[in-house]
Amino acid sequence: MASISFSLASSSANKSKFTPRLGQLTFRHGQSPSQTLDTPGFLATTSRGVVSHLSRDHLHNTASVQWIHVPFESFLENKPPVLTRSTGPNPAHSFLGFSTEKHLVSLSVRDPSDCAEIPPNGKDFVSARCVQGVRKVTVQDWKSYAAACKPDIIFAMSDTMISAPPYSQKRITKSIERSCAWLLDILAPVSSAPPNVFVHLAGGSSVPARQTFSRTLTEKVYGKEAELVHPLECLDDGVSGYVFDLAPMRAQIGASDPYAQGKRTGEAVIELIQASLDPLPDNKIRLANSAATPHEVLRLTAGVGIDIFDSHWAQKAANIGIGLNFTFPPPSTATAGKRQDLGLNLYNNTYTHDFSTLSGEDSPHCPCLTCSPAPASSFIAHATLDEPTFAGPDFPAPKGFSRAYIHHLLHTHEMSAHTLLVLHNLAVLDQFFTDIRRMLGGGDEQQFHRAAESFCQYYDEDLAVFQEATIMWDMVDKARGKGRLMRDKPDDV
Amino acid sequence: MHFEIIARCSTTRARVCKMTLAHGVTMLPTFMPVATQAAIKGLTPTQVESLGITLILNNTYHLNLRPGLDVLRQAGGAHAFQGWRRNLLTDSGGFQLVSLSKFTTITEEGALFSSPFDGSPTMLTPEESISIQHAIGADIIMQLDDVVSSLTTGPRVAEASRRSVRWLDRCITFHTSSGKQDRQNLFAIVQGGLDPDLRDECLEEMVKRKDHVAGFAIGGLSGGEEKDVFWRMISQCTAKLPDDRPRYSMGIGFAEDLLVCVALGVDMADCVFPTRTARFGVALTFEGALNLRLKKHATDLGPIDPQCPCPTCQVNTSRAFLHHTVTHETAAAHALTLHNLVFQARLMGQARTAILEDRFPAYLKTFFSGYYKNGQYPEWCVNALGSVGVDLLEGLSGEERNGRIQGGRGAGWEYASDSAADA
Repeated sequence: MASISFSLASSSANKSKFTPRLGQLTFRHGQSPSQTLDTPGFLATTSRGVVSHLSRDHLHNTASVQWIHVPFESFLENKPPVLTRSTGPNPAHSFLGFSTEKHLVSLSVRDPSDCAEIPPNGKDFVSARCVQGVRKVTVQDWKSYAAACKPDIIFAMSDTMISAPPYSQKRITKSIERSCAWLLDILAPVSSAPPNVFVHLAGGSSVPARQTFSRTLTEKVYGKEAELVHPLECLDDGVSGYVFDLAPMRAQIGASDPYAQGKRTGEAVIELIQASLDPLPDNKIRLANSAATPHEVLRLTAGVGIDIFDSHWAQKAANIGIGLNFTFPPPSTATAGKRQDLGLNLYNNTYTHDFSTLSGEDSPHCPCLTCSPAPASSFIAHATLDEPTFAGPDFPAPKGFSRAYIHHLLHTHEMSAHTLLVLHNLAVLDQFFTDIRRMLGGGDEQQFHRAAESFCQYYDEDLAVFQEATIMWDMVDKARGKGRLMRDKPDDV
Repeated sequence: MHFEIIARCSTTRARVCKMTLAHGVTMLPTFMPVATQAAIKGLTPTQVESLGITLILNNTYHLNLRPGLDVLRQAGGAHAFQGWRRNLLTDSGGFQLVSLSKFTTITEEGALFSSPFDGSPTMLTPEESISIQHAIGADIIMQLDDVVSSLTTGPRVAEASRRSVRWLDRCITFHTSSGKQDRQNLFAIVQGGLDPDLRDECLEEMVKRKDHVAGFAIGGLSGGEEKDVFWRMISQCTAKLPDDRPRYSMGIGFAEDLLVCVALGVDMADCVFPTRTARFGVALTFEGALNLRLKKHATDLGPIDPQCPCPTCQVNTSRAFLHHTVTHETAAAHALTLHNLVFQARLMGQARTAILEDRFPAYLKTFFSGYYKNGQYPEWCVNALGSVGVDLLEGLSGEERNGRIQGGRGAGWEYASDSAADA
C-alpha cells in the first residue's frame, strides 16, 4: 500500500472553488522512490484487472500510465475472489503485474462506466456484475476484500441509482443514507481502516440531495457513530478524495446519449458537481470517471476543477480502430464548416496506402511505442552459440508503424492493431493533459478558457468518426471465419 | 545465403548450423513462429525479437490478398511493412489454395482457384508465386508445389509429385532470371506423398537441381498421416538430402515431433500450433502442456514455469491470473504467446547446445522423461529415435519396455488438442 499525499499548486490554492487547478499527487510504496503524478491528469481503466490489449512488458514501458483503476466485480465469479488470495505487502499489484515503483492502484466494487440494468442494491449490499451473473457485495465483504488486496486507494461502496429516472424522494433519501452508512462502515474502526478512502459523491441528479450528502460528510459525528470512527470529527476527515461517476449521472439526467447531447450534458453535470463540492474542502483530489470526450474533460477542468479523469474513452477508441491525433490547443481557430475529427478511423480505406505514422509526419514527435518503437533492449539467448545471432549486420533502427500497417491489421482482425492503438492513444491523452497543465501553469487562466473554447469549436464532439469506426469494426468482427475475405471485395475501386 | 555446419551429433543425424541471410544470422535447428498476416498474433516485432527469435514466417496467400502487392511494394517489402528487422520466410501459397479454397483445380499451368474477393477464376502459376514472393521480399522463398493431402492415395499423388519437380524448374528459371538470388533464397519442396518409391523419385530429381536451390523442404506431411509413417518419410528424406543445404520440415510444431525431426537431421520447422494454442489458453512446458482454462489453475499463484526466461514468467504472472483472463482479454493471449514462443525457442536452443557439446542423446532422454511424466512414451518416438541410435528406454527388459510404450500422442497433455494443422 502506498503512502499518498495530494497538494494543490500555490497558484491554484485560495482561489475560487470551481476554477481549473494544478496539483500534484505524491505516492510511495515502502522503500521505493517516491513518484509524482501531476494533475490535471488521468488514470487508466482495466477490464478483468488488465489494461486492455497491453501485455505486462508493454504496460511497464508505457510511461504515461501511473494510476490504474481496477473494478473488482469481475473477480466475484469465484469465492473467495482470486485477487484476495494474493499475498505480500501489495497483493493487488503483484497479482495483476503492476509495478510498486511506478503504479498507483485503486479499487472500486463496480465498473463506473457500466450503467446497464441490474437488480437494485439492498440495505447492506451492492449488486455487482460478473460473467456468471449478478453478485451481492456486502459492506463486510468489501472491507475484507480491501484488507486482503491492499490497494493504494479504495472507493467506498456507494448506492448509485442506475435504474431509469425519475426517482422518488424516498429512493434518493435511501441512496444518500446508505452511501453515508457504507462510508462509515469502511472507515470504522479507524485503526484498521484502509488509509486512502475515496467517496463517490451521492445524490443523483438532484441538487439538494447532492448538497445534503456532502454536508453530511462534513457534519460532526455524535454518539455511537463518533465512537465508531474515533478520532475522526466527521466522515470527511477520513476521506482522501471525491469521485464523480459521470455515466450514471448522465443517465440520471436523462441524457442517455452523451455523443448527441454532449454539450448540454456537460453543463448539467457541472451544476451537479458544483452542488456536491460546495460544502466540501478544496484540498482533496477530485476524480471524474467516464468523461466521454476531451471536450468534456476541458469543461470539467474549467468549470469544477476536476484533477483526475479516467482514460476509458481513449482506450475504447483503440478498441474500435481509432488512432487519436488531436492537439490542445487546436492547430488553428475554427473556420466555418465541418469540425475536425479527434482521430483517424483506421478501418477507412483512405489509409490503405498511407505510410505515415499515426501522429503524422509534420506533427510533433509522438513518444509512444507505436510511432517511435524502441529496439529490443535485450535478447533471450537460448543456446551457448547464440551470440552471433544478435550481432549480425547493422540492423536499422525500428521505424514507426504506419497507418497502412494498422489498417491492414484491423482488416485482418489481428490483435496487434489494438495494442498499437492503445499505446498511441494513451500517449496522446498524456500529451493532452501535459498541454492543459502547461497552459494553466502559464498563469493566464483566460488563455486556458479561450483555448478550451476554440478546442470545442475546432473538434467534433458528436464523434461522427467514432460512430463510423464502430460500424466498420462491427462488420469486420462479424465477417470472421474462412469465408471472410469476401468482405474485402473492393467496392470503392 | 551462407550456410555452415558448426557441429554434429556423434550418435544421431542432428547438427548445428549457422545460416546467414540478408537480415542476419539464424542458428539451426530452429523453430519458426508463423506471422500469417504480417504479425505474430498480438505481439509487436520488437517483442518477438527480444525473445531471441531471428526467423519468422509470413503466408504468401494471405499477404497477396491483404494488404496486396501494391501496398507491399510501396512499403518496400514485408520486412519494412511489419517492422521486422530479422529473417523472414514465405511459403508459396500452394498449401492455402488447397486448405482454404474448395474450388481449386490444378492444371499443368498452375493452380486455378476462385478469387476470394469476387469468385472470379484466378490462376496461381509457379512464376506468379515467385513474383509475389519477390514483392514480399522474404529472405527464404518457397517453390510452388502441387500439394495433395497426405491422406490421398492413387495416381494423383504421383502426378502431384512429378508436377512439383516440373514446377520447381519453372520457379528456378523465373527466380534466376530475376537477379534476386543474392537477397532471396529459393527452397525446393520434396513431395511424393507417403509412398517411399515416389519420395525417392522426387528426392532424386530435386537433389539433381541442388546447385539452383538454397535449401530443401520436406512437404506433404503433417496432414493427419500415421506418426509411424511420418517419421519414416522424414528419415528417408534427410538421409538423402545434401548435407550442405538446410532442411526444413513443414508444419511441425509439437515438442516431441520437433526433437525427433532434429535427431533425424532436420534444421528448420514451422507451425501455428504454439501461437494458436496460446490463444486457446494452453501453456507449453517441459513437463507437458497446461490448459489454463481448467479450474485446477484458478487458485495457483505460481508462474507457468519458474525457470522460464520469457517476459510472462519473469514477472511471475501467475497461473491464477492467466486463468482469470484467458479467452477474455487479449493480453492473456499475448502473455501465453510470449511464453509459448520462448518454450519453442528454448527447446531448440537447448538442442543446439546439446548437439554442440555432443550430449544430444542425453538431452532427448531428459526431455522425454520430463515431458511424459507418467513414463509412457509414444511408440513412434521410441522407434524413430531408435533408428538413429538413441534408445529412450535403454536398460529395460522386453516386458518393461512394452509397459513404457503407448500408441497415439501420449501423455503430457491436459486435454487433447485436436488439430495442429497449419493455417
